Amino acid sequence: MSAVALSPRAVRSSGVPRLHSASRWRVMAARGLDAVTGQPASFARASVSSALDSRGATVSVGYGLPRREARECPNAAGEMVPVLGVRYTGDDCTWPLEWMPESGTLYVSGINLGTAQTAGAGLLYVGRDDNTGARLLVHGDGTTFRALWHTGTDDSEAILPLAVPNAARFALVAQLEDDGTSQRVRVRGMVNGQFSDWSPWGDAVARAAAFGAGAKLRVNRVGSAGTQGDFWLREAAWDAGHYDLHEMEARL
Amino acid sequence: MIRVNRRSIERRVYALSTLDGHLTPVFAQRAPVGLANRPGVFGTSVTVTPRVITVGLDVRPESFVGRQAFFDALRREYAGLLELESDDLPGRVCYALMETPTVELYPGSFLQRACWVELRFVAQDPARWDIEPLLFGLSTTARTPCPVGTETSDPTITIVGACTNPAIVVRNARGAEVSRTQFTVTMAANDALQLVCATEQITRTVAGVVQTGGASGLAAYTSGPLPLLAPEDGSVDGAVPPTVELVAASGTPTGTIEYRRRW
Repeated sequence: MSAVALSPRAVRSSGVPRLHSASRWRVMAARGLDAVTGQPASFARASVSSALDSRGATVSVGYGLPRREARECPNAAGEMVPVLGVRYTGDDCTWPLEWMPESGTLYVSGINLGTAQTAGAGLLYVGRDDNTGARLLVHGDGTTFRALWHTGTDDSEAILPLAVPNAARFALVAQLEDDGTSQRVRVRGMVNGQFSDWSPWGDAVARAAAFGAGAKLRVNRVGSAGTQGDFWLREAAWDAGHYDLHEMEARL
Repeated sequence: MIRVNRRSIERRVYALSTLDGHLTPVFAQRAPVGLANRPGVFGTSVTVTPRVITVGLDVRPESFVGRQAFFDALRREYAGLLELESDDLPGRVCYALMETPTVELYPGSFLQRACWVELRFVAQDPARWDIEPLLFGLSTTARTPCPVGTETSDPTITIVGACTNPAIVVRNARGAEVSRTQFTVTMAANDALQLVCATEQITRTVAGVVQTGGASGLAAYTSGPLPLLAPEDGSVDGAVPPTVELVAASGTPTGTIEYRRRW
């Protein structure tokens, strides 16, 4: 019998076990709004509000505090299970943007309660507040979600090949391909345990090299004044490289 | 059978042959033991033995190069803090780090590609955590039952005004008070206190603006331990959980409590 040992994994040395992720950017709504990779969330709602707790009772949520709310959604086996997300009806939340346009994968999961049914309502947005310059966005089109890469001049768009009904639990990945000359997007997802195929790649458009000054990653709106939908954010992440849905989930 | 970061560990291997250590309901605690130590905060008075989970994999790659690619993938996928979940523990995860895996060739098989890989996952906190947090409302008019697992849970609590000098009271299954976290602060309707008990942070916001210095949440804290939900405060069979309520010198604060049970 011959035995060899693999090299130890590369862990950032800190003296104690600490959480780190292969993902360049990641936030898990159920555990706090700040990204796991350290970027602080900027959350705003100019009012005291309410949400439903795990027993279905209405609870009061403080001024400017995220509304975590429990919802019952079907899992992969079709069973209704309670899941917690951050309710984003009229709330605004952003994170600092710390990457340039590159080949990467945008991941978002949550519970749809109207965003897919509201054409133009932003789900996840990467770009400047004023919705100018290069920007990557996932938004509702009335039936499902679309991924749109807009260079400021040209559009590359992909449509999730699966309808997203109200109250559906969903997860999707949008891939941005950047070959140094041109860029394009495609998208695939899971809705209530049903997986879609990849959409066709959108049009290849002339490459945009930067998002522009002041760009952010934003939930629930396209830019700071875009249309807001209604959904419960579970997780979101960005990672350089092209990954499938389960690969992104594995990297969370 | 077992999933690491939600992905089946079996997807790259011919067979998963052994799995050990993930089912142990009780783990060793060396005396002296404080009954309600915080999860992840092991003081000098208590030592908890980590949970060690070993997984034996029968790997049968299609080529020698493929075997090395498998090792590369192992290292890439299992670096960092991992969530371990199995069919025995639906809805719960252990947080573990992978130690150096061992690879053994089968006897007399230097010319064969098959090998045996043993992965060793070490969870410094041996408890299993619920994936989904529980969220309940808090008020001054009712005691909120907070179901707990077999281990303690550190909640995140918010208190919303208007009120003066709010406090958080934890009671055991008999209704006896076990802790009272007292604040000295006047809160308007748009003000809130947030307690993250796991990291022992208190944040005060006034109309959504975080307060600092003498107006900070920590400055408002007066006395008492941060609330801890402990199974020994529930009934022995777990049917009657501890309760949490708010009180105030004046006004009617409301709030929420959010936590993940540990088992």
